[in-house]
Amino acid sequence: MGTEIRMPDLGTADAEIRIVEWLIEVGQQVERGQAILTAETDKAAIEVESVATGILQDIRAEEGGEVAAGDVIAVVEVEGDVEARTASSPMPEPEATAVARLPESKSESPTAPASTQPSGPKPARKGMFARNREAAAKRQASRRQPAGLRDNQRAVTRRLAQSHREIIPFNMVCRVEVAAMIRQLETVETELQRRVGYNPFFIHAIARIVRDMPCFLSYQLGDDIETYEKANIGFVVGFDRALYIPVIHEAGDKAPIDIGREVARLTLNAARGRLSVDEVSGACVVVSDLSNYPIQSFNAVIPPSSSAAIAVGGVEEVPVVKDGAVVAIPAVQVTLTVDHRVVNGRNAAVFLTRLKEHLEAL
Amino acid sequence: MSKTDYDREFLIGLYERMFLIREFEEEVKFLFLEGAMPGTIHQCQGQEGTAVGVCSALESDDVITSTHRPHGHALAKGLSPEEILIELFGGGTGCCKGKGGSMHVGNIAKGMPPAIAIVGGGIPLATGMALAFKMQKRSQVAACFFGDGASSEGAFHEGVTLGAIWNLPVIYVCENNLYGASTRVDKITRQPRIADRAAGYGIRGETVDGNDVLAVHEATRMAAQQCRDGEGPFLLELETYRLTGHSRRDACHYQPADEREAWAQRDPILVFGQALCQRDDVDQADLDRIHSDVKAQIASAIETARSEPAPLLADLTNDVYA
Repeated sequence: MGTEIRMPDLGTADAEIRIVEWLIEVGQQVERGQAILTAETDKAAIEVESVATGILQDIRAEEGGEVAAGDVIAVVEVEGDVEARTASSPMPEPEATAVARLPESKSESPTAPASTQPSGPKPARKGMFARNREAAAKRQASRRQPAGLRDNQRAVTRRLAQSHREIIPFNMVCRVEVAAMIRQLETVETELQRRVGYNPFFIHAIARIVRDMPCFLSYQLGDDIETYEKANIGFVVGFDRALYIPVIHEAGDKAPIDIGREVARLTLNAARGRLSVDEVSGACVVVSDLSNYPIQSFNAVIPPSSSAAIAVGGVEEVPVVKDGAVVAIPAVQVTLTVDHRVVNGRNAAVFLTRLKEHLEAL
Repeated sequence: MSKTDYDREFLIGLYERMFLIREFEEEVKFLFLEGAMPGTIHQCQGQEGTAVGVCSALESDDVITSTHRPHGHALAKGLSPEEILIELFGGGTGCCKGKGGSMHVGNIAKGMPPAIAIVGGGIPLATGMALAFKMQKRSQVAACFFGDGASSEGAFHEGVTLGAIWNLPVIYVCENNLYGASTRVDKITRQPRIADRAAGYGIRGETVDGNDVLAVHEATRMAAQQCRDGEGPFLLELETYRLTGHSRRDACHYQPADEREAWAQRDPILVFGQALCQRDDVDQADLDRIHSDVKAQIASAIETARSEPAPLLADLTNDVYA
């Protein structure tokens, strides 16, 4: 017969729990106590253990989806003998040879106050999940629902606050001419048949530059400095009530058009709330592109565990002196914000210089 | 381990009690995962050697105080699995009539006032009980369990100071499992050897391998004797490790994998079982028999506990004193 596996009550609030990854497949043997999936609560990612031994018969909750504590997430086909093990066993007779100095702890009948001792067979108590759900429903009914945040957005607000508390931001602004980038972008967007913006070019350029500037691959963790081995670059995707920073892994090894394809896919996944942990982890530097808006410049927030953020302002025609004459040239203001604990001013200036050179020579 | 000096039944009893605690905690874990068990739960897998080592060296009328992680202490002090499990389920026939729950199990008749979940909260209480023993000229001893984190609480300083100036019969038992929740002990103190603080209070202290149940037993027996001789208190630091999260919701990411693995090799039950099998009169079959007996005992206790009734509304104000 099948035993239903329910999502344990792992969160600290009445929050949904996200299924990050199943660690076994349907048809595989699973042991009681074996980790079968990774879940993400409002507190942390945590491995969930099976409560039954048998064959995994069905998975009822997809990766990326959210469930509540108590929801059925899988069914395990339990062998008959396993079932018998958990059935009630006869109580052992207390052994006559009691241990010399250890206090007695053999099974004994609980002594109940007369008022609470029912006669006849006792019904099993209502499960905790059921009681929690009833209590939650009552609370819901008795109060107006506040404009709540989705779980992952709670994580975002927490990380923003952490960034504000810990990171020492330091800004530097530089004008980058974008005539070459505009031409390249036309080619890329025609090929991909969709808008991807300047992100692919920035991501590619940054990944190339930070390879030779290890301080940008580092971030502060407590009193230590951690360093990424790979130049993975994040980009900010904002929606009406959600914020994501998907990551392009090893972006320096990829052509801008391939990065553009990934940017489009990850943006779509973000819109559906279906980014995996891997797809939002490990960015050493992040880019926020608002070049479609008439914003001159802005500062981007550095996520914890990144070294810097690049903010791309709106494209505008600016007067530039070329060969002794004033000409109008499309340009953006690029603001580099670094965590001053890991990147110093000179390194920031070198980085911005290289970024400007790279993008203007596309 | 000077195992040959001990009676076989005594040593088997130590092993059985440690295994009972482990099995109890493992089954409670699954009850929590199934959603059958309310609340969050602080478990002690890996720390069985401290609870059993200390309590096996106490007399039945000696008392202990415990913490938010009390199941092992309670089982070691002689509470039955049933009375604790029913309490965990919130049943009206539990050891605190369903009003205490996991973090407050206890049974005063068995020498354990309900555990105190406030970190360090048991230290002044144990000191007070020891003061009562002294004033009443009784030979009892109070053993006070607390963790490495609690040793930096004000209550520790106040309790140990009073215990010291009045020569009280109390053993301050610090279970140093290296982490106060997720914070490593060397992040909260420049002196991570807790027992060395004894000198500052003018009392005796000792650090013992908490995963060696016999070493803990011997150290506690000696400390208890000093207390009964009017030479207390004593600060006993037991080095141990929690092989599970701080609570059921803790994924334990702060414990480095190699550290966890190294301590798993020092599992007190594993180590003591191997030592027992070195004796001529104990073999693996004896241990296997203990395992199956204990599993049956716990399974039966769970069946009982599942169906115990909740307290009645009429019981709400009973046993309420303030």
